[in-house]
Parts: sequence; structure tokens; C-alpha cells
Amino acid sequence: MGNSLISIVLFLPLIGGILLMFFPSNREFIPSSRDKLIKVIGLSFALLTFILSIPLFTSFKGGFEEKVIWIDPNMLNTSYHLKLDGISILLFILTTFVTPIILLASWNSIQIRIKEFVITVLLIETGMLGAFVAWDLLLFYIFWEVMLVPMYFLIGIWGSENKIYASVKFFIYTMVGSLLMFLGILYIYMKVGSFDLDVIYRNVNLLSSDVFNIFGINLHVEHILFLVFALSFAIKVPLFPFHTWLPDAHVQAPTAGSVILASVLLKMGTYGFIRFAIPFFPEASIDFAPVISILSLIGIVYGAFMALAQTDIKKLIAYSSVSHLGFVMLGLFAVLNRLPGSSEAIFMYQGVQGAIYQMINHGISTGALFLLVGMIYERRHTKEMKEYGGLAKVMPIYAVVFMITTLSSIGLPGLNGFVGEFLILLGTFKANWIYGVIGASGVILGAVYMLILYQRVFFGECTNPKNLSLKDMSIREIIVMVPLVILMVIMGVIPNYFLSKIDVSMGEFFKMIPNIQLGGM
Amino acid sequence: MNYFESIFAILPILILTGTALIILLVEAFIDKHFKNLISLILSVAGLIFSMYYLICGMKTNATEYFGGSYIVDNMGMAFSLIISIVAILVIFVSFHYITKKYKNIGEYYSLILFASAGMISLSLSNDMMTFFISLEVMSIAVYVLAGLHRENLRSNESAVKYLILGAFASAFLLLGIAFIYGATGEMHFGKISKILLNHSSEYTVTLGSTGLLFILIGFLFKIGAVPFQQWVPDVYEGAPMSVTAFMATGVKTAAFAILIRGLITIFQVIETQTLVNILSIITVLTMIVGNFMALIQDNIKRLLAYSGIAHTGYILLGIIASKVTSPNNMDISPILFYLLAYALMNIGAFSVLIGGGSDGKDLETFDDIRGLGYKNRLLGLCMVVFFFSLAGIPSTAGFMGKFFIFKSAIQSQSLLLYGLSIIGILTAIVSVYYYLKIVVYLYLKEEKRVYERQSVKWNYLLINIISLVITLLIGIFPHIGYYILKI
Repeated sequence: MGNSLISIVLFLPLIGGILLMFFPSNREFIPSSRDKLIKVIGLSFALLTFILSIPLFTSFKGGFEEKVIWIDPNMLNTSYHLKLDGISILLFILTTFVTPIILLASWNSIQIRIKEFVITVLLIETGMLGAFVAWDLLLFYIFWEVMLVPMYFLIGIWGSENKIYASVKFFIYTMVGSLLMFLGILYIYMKVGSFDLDVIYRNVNLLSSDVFNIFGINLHVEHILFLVFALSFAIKVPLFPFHTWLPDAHVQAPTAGSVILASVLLKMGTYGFIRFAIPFFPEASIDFAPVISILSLIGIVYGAFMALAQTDIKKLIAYSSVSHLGFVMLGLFAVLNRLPGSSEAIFMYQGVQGAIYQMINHGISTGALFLLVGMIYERRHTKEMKEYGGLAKVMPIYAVVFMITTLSSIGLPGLNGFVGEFLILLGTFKANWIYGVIGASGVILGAVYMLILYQRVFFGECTNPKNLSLKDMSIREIIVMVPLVILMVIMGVIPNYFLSKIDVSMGEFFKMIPNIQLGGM
Repeated sequence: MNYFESIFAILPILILTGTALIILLVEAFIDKHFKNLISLILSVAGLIFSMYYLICGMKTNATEYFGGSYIVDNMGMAFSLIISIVAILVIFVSFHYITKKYKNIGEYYSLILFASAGMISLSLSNDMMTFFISLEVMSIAVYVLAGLHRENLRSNESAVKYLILGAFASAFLLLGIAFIYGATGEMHFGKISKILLNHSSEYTVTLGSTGLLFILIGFLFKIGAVPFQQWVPDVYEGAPMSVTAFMATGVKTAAFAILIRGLITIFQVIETQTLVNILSIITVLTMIVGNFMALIQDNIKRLLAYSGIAHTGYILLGIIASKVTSPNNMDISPILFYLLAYALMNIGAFSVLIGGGSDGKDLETFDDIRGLGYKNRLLGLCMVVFFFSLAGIPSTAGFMGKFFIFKSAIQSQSLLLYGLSIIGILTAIVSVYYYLKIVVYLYLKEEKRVYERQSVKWNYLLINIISLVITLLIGIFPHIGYYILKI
């Protein structure tokens, strides 16, 4: 079992989902006990997946790999190749970690079509895990696209009023990017002759040689390919100006959908940049780095201001995601600078490290924020800030948990958010101080809008009579939040334990990329 | 060539025709309660028998029979296999359906078998005469099938429209054949191209290429490529649903078989560049018109008709790619795979539309399929898979079909094909929207209502499950699809 542990973890949720599909739907059961049984089965599959994935994390020393023949190799040079390295291990474990939490958090909030809901969440888990471990472009593309389908249903069936618009918008936006990337992948296959990432990394120079001459203009193929990949990932991140689907999707999605989106799905985009776009097209990445850095900065500032202007709590957090993910992108691209008078470029180590760390942080703290908003929405069925006020007196435990999460999100030292933002800004200042200054302003704005949110919801007099009788967090809700809060503290206090996992393969990974050196070690 | 060997080579066609005649005879003598079942068993037996001989007759080298009228090669065999699979699936789909619509059951089955015999013969034909007669055998049977529902005005309209426009196409083909025969004095595809290539006489070349142009128009009409596509939605909409399924898959496969046969024989006379240019314009128009017209349909049959036109565009893209890569020795395996995938998901979708209907009505409009996913879970799941497959979402056969087509387009390394692929991908994004619209109606509208469970007849379930399993299987392990077709 040791050798195929990744596959077991990867397909366990899928197996659970398929088993649940055959769960009898007739009236042999009393409806409520039947629903409970379904939820228990789903949760135990998700928990088992998490437990099995723990050894992958604790015994991680550089990578796990699996390779099996999949499609007839005479026909297509591809294989079922999975690999976990320092870049993906944390995201992988984050996914298995949040899925049981999501199922537990949706215990009461999902009232209709419970069986389908559990199946959908389990299918999304397999899709996301697959995209993180695939070490073969075709396999990656399949997981990357397949995960859209259950996500589309999750928003579309269990969402609020405007869900059809939001789910279709989400699907079409993502498809636009990924279908163009599909052509790019085929072009890479034509040039390199394999879908295997190891082979492609070794032959990236083959991708940079071609030049198209269209209507007298010379276009470097590498630039076109980079743009195609970048578009696909930028939509997923989402990078300004491709972010417009995100607020819609977040607001309409049920809590589970928002948490999946915020915690894992958005990371797919930034992960794609690190894993594919930058190493495949180093030259083009260096050339486009200023553009992407500026777009990230606009995203940071714009997202923060939009968050300030929101009255809907979920929308506020959605825009804060745009801002936070801008940080991650800044950590990847602002630190990529060409050395003067040379074709080589230097890649500030802290920026990349911080970007990966911040991906996890954002997953935990924003995921937790959406869970918290979901809890209050279950009680009051409104997400309008002005409907609340003075909740700190009525729901003290809730207020404390919300405070810790808020502080983690704005990057208070001692909590996880600080480490990531600090590393990113450190790398950015080393590379380009102007970017650093603008980026740092985002941190301040972040504190402003989050604290305003906290103040309006929790402080002051509890004037609205409907709020007076609100119940504090139940035991189940506390169980949901405790692991997240613990992780926020641990990741803030002993970041080295996690950073060392990232470090294991960073040097090796970036050694493969021509023209780019890691700097600032 | 030995005469008996020739007979053996066309045995599949003979078996089908024989079975069709037997069904007509038997039907007159048996009790009407068993008519349907016995006709079904007989026709499926005949088809399986003929498939068996098809596989037996498969040869590695192309061999000509009957003095060159027929050719048995891998390509023709693979097309014939797809056609046989389509016919079996369609017959199962029709089993309960036709008793609702039509009284003379035996005729229905024998017409399907006659049409299939015509299609197989078409994909094996190697001269002008065989090809034209096979085409007419197929077409006449399908004209009658389209008008099967005699009391229904739309069915009549469909049949008449198909007949008149089909006759128009036949006229073009005949004119083309006459021109070519006039120029070369030959009927055999290979000999025609030899004469046209070697003769430099201006008279021969002009007459010959005019004839070829007419024949190309006839072919494009049959595959439903723009600008010869107007008949497709009307005919599909009016015809009984099972016949529509047969036309959308079987007739299209056979038409592509003869188009490709033409491309590797007589059309080689035309300069590759010219041919590619003509086909490229048609492909772009087909992809754009098909996908954009499908956007504004409110009838699912019409939507599937336009989506079929769009898929014709993708298959044409594959044809151009293989023509550009190797003009004389086209690799058509991506096209065969695509046709197989297309046939499975389309017949599956039609089977859901028939099976999910109640009170003798099929599901035709978007309102009809509202909440279908909750009325019958299996039908809903199948429909979702088929429509995501049509949209080309991974892990389905439709994705692998698109994958191989676009892969061959990119591997041709020509700027023209890069451009065509980009247009193809952009129109595919458009198509995602209208396929999603179906899914929206299946699941996302009024999801809170409690629906009555709806039971479905066994034959629809059988076809749905078979199509679903194969769609997913060859979507994840595409080489299995290649093994099935032995390509």
C-alpha cells in the first residue's frame, strides 16, 4: 500500500461518491435517519481520506511518485504519473483537511438533495487532489476540467436566488481559459513529444525556439503560449481584470461552495503559475513579469477598496480574496527580475516561498471566515452588515473565533497570515521597492476593512431585536472551527516546520528552469 | 478474383438485405402481439451476424472485389462497424417507441436494415455506380422512415423536404458522375484519378474537375455542412425521434465514409492546396453557423440538429488536418474515433428524450425536461454525461474525440490549421453555453419541488447504460475505442 498511497487518497472520495450513488433512495428508511446516515458515510470517507493523507505529510522528505501505464503508449506518450513535491504537498494536505470540515459545517444548512450534495463535495475533492498531484499534462488537464462540473452543480443547485447566473458564469469563464490552454498543451506535446512533466521540464528550450510571422509581425511562440496558460490560470486566481466571476460565485454559492472556492479552487490558478507557466516559459515569464506584477498590485488595491464599499459580508470577503490572491501573485512575479545586461533573471526566494505559504494561509483563514459567515447566515438568513451589531454580547464564543480569524486574515504577528505576507513583502522589497510600498498599503487597507466589518457586526449596542435571541456556536460548530484556529496559531508560531517542507524541493525544482536563478537565500 | 470470394466479401450486406426481407415476410404471418419482439430479435440477430462477417472479412491489405466495384479495407470496415453499432442501438431505442406511433412494425425494422445495408455498401464502394446506388438505397429508406408518422403534419413535411432536397443532391451527384464519365470513360475511382492525373488534355481536365466539384457539393449536402445545411434542422425536427437519432448518426457516418473515400481517391486530382482552401472555408462556416444557431433554439431536437452541424465542422477539421499532414495516405483514425463517440452520445441523448417522455409524447422543448434529473435519476445522470460529452468535458468520449482531432490539427504544423483550431476552440466555448442550458433545465430549475418518480421502459435504460458506460470508458481509456474499431 505504501507505494500507491497517493492514488488511494486521490480516489477514495470518488469511490465514496460512487458508492453513495447506489444508496437506496426508496422509502425503506425514515427520511431523516436516511439523510443522517448518508452524511455520516460521506464524512467518514472524507475523514478517512484525511487520515490516510497524514503520513504523506509527516514522512515527507522530498517527494512521492507513482507511474503506471494508462493510455496505450504506442498511441499517446502519456502515463498515469503522480508526484507530490514541496510545492504541492501543502495544498494537497489542505484539500484533504478542509473537505471533512466542509461536510461537517454543512450538516444542517443543506436541507434538500442531501445525497447529491455529499456526492458532489466528494467528487470535487478528487478533482482538486488530482490537479495537485498530476505529473502529466493530459492528466492534469482532465482533473482541472472535471472538477468544474461538480462545482457547477454545487453552486447551481444549492446556491441562493441568482445561482443559475452565477454558476453558468463561473463555468463559462473557466472554460474560456482552459480551452485555449488545451491548444497550448497540444502545441507543447507536438514540440516535446510527451505529456510527462519531467520530459517537458528537460526540454523547455524546444518551446522557445519558434517564431510565427503573421502579417509581417514576428510573434514568439513562447509568448503566445505563456499568455494562453496565464489567461487560464489568471481567471482561476482570479487576477484583475478577470475577477468578475468570483464575487458572483461566492455570494450565490452555499457555504460549502464558498469554502471550497476560497480554500482550494482559487489556489489552482496560482499553483498553475508555479508549476506550469513559469517553468515552461521562463523567458516569457520574465518579459511579462512587470505586467502581471502591476495587475496584481491593481488587484490588491482595487480588491481592498471594493471590500471597503461592500455591505454584504460575503461579498466583502470575496473581494478580500481578490486582494489576498493579488499578494500571492505579487510574490511570484514582482520578485522575478532580469539581471541588468544579462539574459539571466533572478527569482527572489522569499517571494516564492511566501506565495506558497500565503496560499495555504488564505485557504485556512478565508475558508474559516466563510464558515463563520455561513453559521450566522443559517441563524438569520441575511448577509447584510447593517442587520447585525452588538453580536459580541449575544454570541461571545462566536465573537472570539471570528476575532482570531480576522486577525489571522489581516496578518497579525503570531498568526499564520503574518508569515506569508512578511515573506512576500520581503522578497518584493528586495526586488523592487516601489512594488513593495504599494503592496504594503494593501495590508493596511486589509486591516481597515476587516476591522470595520468586525466592529459593525460585533460591537455597539445590540439594537435589532431579532439578534437578541441568537444562539451561540453549537458543539458541532465549535468542532468545525477548532482545527482551523489551532492551525492558524501553529502556522504562525512554528512556520519553519511547514516552510521546510516547501524548501525540500524548491531548489531542485528551480534548478531545472533555464535562465532563472533563485536569489536572496 | 474468385467469384465466391467476392460474394463472401459482401456477405454482411447480403445478410442485412436478407434479414430485412425475412422480417417483411414473417411479419405477415405472426400474431400482432409478438410482431414487435420477433422483428427486434430478427433484426438484431441479422446485424450481429453481419458484424461477425465484417470482422471476419477484415484484411490488412485493401482488396478489390467485383472487378473493382467494392473495396474491403480497414477504413471501410471501421466505418461499417460504427454503422452496425448505430443500427443495433437505434433498433433497441425504437422497440417501444414505434408501437406508439406506427402500426406496420415490420416495415420499420426492415427499412432500418435496408438503410444500414446501403450505408455499409456505401462505405465499401469503390466506383461511381456502386456508390450512387448504395447512396440511393440508404436515402430512399430514410425518406420513408422520416415520414413514418403519417398522421403528423411535421413528419410529412420532414419527409417531403428531405426527399426534395435529397433529390437535389442526387441530381448534383449524377451530373458530376456524368461529367466525369464523359471526360474519362471510366467508373472506377482509381482509374478515374489515374486518367485525370495523366491526361493533360484541357477538355478532360475541365470536364473532370467540374464533375468533381458537383460531386463534392453532393457530399457536403449529405454531411450537412454549411452552406448546404438548411434541411438538417427541419428534417430532424419533424421526423420521429428514433429516426432522427438514426439520421444524425448513421447517415452522417456513411456520408463521411464516402467523402473520405472520395478524398483519398478521385479528389486527389484536385491540387491539395485548393481542396484544403475550399474545405477550410466550409469548416469555419460550419463551426460558426452550427454553434451560433444552436444558441437560439428552444427545441432540443433542433438544438441537437445544429450541434450536429457544429460537430460536422470539427470532423471536417480533422479531415483537413490529415489531408494536410499526408495528402496521399490520410490517417483517419481521429475521425473514426470522433464519429464513434458522436454516435454514442447522440443516440444516448435521443434515447433519454424518448424514454423520459410520458403519455406518448417525447421530450422536445426545454420545458419538457424541467426537473427530469429528479424524476428519474438515471436518465438525468445519463443526459448530463452525454451533454458534457458533446461539450467536450474531459473523462468523456467527446473530449477524447476533440482531443485527437485538435491534436492532429496542431501536429500538422501549418498556420492555416492553427487558425482553424483557434476558431474551433472559440466556437466550442460557445457550445458549452447551450449544452449547459440543457443541464440547467435538468437540475437547476425548481430543484426544491418534490417530483413524482417516473419509471422508464427497459430498452431505453439498456441503451442509456450501454452508451453511458462506453462513453466514459473510451473517454478515460481511448485506446479501447481504437481496439473496437481495429484502427
